[in-house]
Amino acid sequence: MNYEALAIFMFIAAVFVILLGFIWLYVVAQQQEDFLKKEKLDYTNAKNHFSAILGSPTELSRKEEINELVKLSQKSSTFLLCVVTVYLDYNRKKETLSDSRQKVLDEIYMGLEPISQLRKLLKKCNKYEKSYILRLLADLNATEAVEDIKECLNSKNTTLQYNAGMALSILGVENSVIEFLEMCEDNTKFSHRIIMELLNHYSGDKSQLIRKYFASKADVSDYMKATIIKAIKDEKLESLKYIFIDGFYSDSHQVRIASVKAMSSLGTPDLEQYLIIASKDSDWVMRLSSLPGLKAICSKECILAVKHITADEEWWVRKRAAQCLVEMDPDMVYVEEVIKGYDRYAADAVKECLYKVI
Amino acid sequence: MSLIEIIRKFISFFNYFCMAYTLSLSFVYLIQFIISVFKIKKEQKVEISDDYMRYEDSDNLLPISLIVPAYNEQENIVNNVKSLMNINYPVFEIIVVNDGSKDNTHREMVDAFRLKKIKSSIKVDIQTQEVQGIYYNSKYPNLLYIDKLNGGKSDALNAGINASSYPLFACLDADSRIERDALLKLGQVFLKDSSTVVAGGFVRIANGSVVEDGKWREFNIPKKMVEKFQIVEYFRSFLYGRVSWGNSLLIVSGAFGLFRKDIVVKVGGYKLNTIGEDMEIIVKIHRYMRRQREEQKGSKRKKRVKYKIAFCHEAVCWTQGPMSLKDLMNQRRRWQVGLFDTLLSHFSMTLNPIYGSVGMVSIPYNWIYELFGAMIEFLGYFIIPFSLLMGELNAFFFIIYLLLTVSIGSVFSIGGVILEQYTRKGCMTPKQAMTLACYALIENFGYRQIVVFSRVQGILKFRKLKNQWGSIQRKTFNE
Repeated sequence: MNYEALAIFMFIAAVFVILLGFIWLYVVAQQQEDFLKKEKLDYTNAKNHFSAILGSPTELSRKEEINELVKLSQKSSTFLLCVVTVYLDYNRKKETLSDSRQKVLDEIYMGLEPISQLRKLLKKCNKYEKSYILRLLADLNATEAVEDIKECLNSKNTTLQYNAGMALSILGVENSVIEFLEMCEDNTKFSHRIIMELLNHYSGDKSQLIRKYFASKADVSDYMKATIIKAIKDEKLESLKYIFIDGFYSDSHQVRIASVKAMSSLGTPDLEQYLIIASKDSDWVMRLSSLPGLKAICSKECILAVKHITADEEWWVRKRAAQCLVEMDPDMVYVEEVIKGYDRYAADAVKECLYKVI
Repeated sequence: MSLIEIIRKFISFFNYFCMAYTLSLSFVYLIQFIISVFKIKKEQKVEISDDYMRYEDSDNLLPISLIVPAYNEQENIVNNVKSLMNINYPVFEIIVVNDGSKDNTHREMVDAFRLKKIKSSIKVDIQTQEVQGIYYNSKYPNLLYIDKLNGGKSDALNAGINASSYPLFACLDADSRIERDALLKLGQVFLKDSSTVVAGGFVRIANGSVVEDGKWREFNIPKKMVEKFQIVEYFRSFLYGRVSWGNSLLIVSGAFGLFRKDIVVKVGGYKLNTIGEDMEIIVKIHRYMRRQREEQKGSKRKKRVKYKIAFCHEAVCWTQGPMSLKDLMNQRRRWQVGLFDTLLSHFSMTLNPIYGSVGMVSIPYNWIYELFGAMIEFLGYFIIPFSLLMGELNAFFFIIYLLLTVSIGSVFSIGGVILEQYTRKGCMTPKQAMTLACYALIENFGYRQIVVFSRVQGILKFRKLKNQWGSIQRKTFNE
């Protein structure tokens, strides 16, 4: 082998590869710097335009400014996205603006037609940009774009699919959200927490949505049952009480826990017996979940049940029960009984809680 | 066969071995680089639509207990706790565990937050050294301070786990700062994938940079050479080493990681008397989860135990790197001892198919390239020039070999800077990026050898250094 030639070749190759690395790095750094500058500039420009429009002295100058803004946003998609973001920022604090400014903001909206512009953009861009636009459409309350959003729900890309689902949920499109939930039944693409997040953002009538979903399917999986009940547990939806009671008798551990949590959050006197039963369950999570409900009902039976749990074998349950008992018993009658009682652990838990309160 | 001949044979064999080793390592790095580029590019695309701030007030983010073990941290501890109080996350608590500090850590904490000793009971899931007191102030309801007898970092973390109330806990270093939104980004990983058991963040070197109110403000290249080299090194090790491993990741930095508490309790918590507790816990979790998976294979249950150990490069923690060579060498020796200790403790996982990609790829990689790699490189520095002197090696072949190793090393280091530029848009100006790339070239001459030497020392003095942490002089943050 001719090592000399190889050495020279290697030397040239090494220098070339290193040089290439430097060039790559320089190009990336330069591109990023330019991109950030442009992004910053676009955003500042959009903000300046809004300030100029809102502060323009005459109607004519205002219209000219709006036309200029529309022209610029039609030319560049990145500028359009910045304009929509700035519009949304203003729109969120609309109530704090004066009436005349609110009217100007409406004028900008009418002139800009952000929804139709975004819908056009939706057809041109990649799936990730689409996802972002879907969120913006939802923030703009773009009910007229529902069909476009629904199309994205059938995408194979999970990011796009989720963002479409979320947009439809924010817009309160019942049937589509049900469709999304059905899709979640038999796939593991989305975590239960992400489904809960989606349901939390639903702007329509949640109890109707859930009733419809449960009615549409004869066999809702335990996984979905537990997820949905967990998602709405803090909403205090009395009309869904029957679902929680049904869940209380479920064979699924998760559904039972979710149901007790939902009942606990409701905390109505008619659920007292269920919660007392749950407070004596062999599973500590069930016992723990019953506590907020018992605290809310605060009847003598409930206080006794909570007092009983202060002696729970689980440290965390004892601690939470003690906390509840202190709050339920302002006269400290039962609290004193626990402190003077034979169970040192229960007394410790209550004492710790008192230390923190005092 | 004479002795000279034996030496010649050995040298000849070693030269070929080194060549093969370098080539294979380069190949591994190349694969890691390609995977990282693709992953980072994809994550960046997802980022366009994935606004983590939307989850800012979400009830679905799991509450987190932040555990800060502190041993002789009187300079940093109060500022760090104050900075933690400002982080952006819906529900969290801070648990500071004073591990029997000999300085004024205890006094600083008690005075700064006007803490009062309370009578409290803690569920002991994991045995620890005696807890001497629990302190609390109702003015800071999410701060709990635990004073305990010295038992080491692992013991302090275990005590923190025992006292924690929430299902997730994050282990943090008292001398590091996490960015304001870092927990939100890590918490999102758990929200999106319920099978996540651990998520690690990106630890960046803060030397030179300005970090204000938990937010990075300005990137400056530090003045000292040793600090500059560390920046390049961290980019490489986090953006190659962590991003590319996916679910077979073997280490989540002790300075910033988020864990599911129930799993950590099930594996018995952090191992005591080890200085590589951050790696050990991850290997232990892999072991436990893969065992569970294996046990389920035989059962009739349909669902397989799925688990995910994730690395989230967007969640950033800033740390001060060692400022002197002595401290750097001490740190690297310690890391090597920790690696060796963990690999030895879990030796049975090596090439064991039960542990899947962890047993068959990650652990062997760590044995070959991370542990013994230093040894081979160190020997190479002596034997290859020696073989050149003995005439066993063609001078031009030596040049080829030298160029190959230097250029490949440099290219991969520059690759780390490129990846950093992708992940943190506009963090560095083109000039700063080029300067760091130059340091990626220079680090091959001197710095690399010093690090290799420290790592070899770590292996050779393993038994002696096994339980010694040592101390490192660090600067306070530019705030």
